Amino acid sequence: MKLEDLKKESPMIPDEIRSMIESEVKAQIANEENTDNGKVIHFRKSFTKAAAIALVATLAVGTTAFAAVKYFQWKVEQEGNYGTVITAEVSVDETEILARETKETDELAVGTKEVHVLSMKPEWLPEGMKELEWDKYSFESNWGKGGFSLHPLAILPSEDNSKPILERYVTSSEEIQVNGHEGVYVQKHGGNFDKIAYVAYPEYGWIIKCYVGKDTTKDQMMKFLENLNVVETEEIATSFEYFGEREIEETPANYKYDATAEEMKNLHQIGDTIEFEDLEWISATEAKSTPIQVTVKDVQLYDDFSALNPEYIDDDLQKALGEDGKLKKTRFVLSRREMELIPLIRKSIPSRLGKNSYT
Amino acid sequence: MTKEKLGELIIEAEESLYRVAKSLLTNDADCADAIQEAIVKAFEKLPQLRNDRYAKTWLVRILMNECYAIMRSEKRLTSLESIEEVGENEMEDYTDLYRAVSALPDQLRLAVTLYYAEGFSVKEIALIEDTTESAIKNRLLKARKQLKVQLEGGNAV
Repeated sequence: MKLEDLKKESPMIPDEIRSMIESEVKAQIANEENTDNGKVIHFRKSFTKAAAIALVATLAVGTTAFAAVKYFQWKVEQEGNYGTVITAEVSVDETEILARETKETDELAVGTKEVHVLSMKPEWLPEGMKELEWDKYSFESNWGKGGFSLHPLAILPSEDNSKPILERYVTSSEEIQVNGHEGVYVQKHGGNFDKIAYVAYPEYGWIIKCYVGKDTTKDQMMKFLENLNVVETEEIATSFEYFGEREIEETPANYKYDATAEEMKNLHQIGDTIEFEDLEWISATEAKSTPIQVTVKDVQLYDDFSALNPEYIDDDLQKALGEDGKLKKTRFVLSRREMELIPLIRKSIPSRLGKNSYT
Repeated sequence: MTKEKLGELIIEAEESLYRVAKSLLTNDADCADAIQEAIVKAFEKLPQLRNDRYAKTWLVRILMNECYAIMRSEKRLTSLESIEEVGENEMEDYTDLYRAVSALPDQLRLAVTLYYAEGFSVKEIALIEDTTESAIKNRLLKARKQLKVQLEGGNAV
């Protein structure tokens, strides 16, 4: 059995997906507006899945999801020296159940059972900025970094479910107004995106989160947001992220305080001896493995890579380091390198203390 | 690249697109949604494709992002049990090799599919996944090790 056989052992494409692809391609080619003015007509969700997801979403949010809302407002609180807690406060009126569905009132859409896809088209961009990809805008001189990045977040369906977001490394925050829409602005320390704005569109059931690059000013952000044409489309959103959803997953209640023996196997004390394998790459996928024994003699903390033998710092890692030997303050690089740095550090440290010693 | 050429590329690559989507998503309805969304976005973003040589790599990258978007939303909307149930039923029809690959973690499974089933180079996979070549090499090595353990005799791949 060879991995090279994987292609022929993979399942064949089902006929219905094949014909969907072919008809979607035909429809897109026939759509004259497609590349002429950048507008795309979506011939989507012909699949049964769309209905299935919508049903599950409706069930998941519970009965209060059908209630209309009396008001929406932001609550911004300081937490510690560098934290800001942002809460989207929603007041639900249970007596106005299904109000939006019956179109008898202009009540806010927050808390209704479905939200529509938002169209967000900027009518103004700073000079030199262009659309990078879907809802992302970047300066041509700093392509792919900074600029604006828009993320719609659905407002949680009831006040019971309202969860705050904790922004970290905050240097200042304030409430803002964008064309009558309430918002929160946060200035952060470090990263390619050091500013964030949340602007509420409760009439649509959405909050727009706008990441703003450090190459872009707050004034440019305000002008961009004020000239952002936000329109509710006919299309029902079948997959979306809620405001505060990520925080829910990261609440302390979900943290682990105990670790299994398996999870602790790479944690060692001074005096422990550990077996490692030294990998020497022969080809793209083949490596020669040499076992080495390592004894922990000392533990030290470094906040730069100057302790490492440059011979063991490969080109990829080198690009991530500044002249001072520290990792560059670039969130982009850090997040991608994180996992790779661990084996590199392991490989590099022995050279300083002798071939078979680790610190 | 013209719209017509992109259309031809998509039709030629439809088996590949399905295999890539299937390597990340559990069921065919999700695969269909991801592929359909990727086609729509590919046509919309076509003016941004600067080098036709990388059209397939670019297309697979769009598809991969759509798959991840579905995986994120599915995680919130459906129970794990229902996903596992669907997966187990479908798995009965597959070969040992495909089942073993399917049991790999997401990143390893995608790397193996792109390298062995789709014939992308390590460099191309690094571009698709927006990471380094050494990261992809490590994923392929890890995947081979895990597959050896899973498959009969420990030396089957």
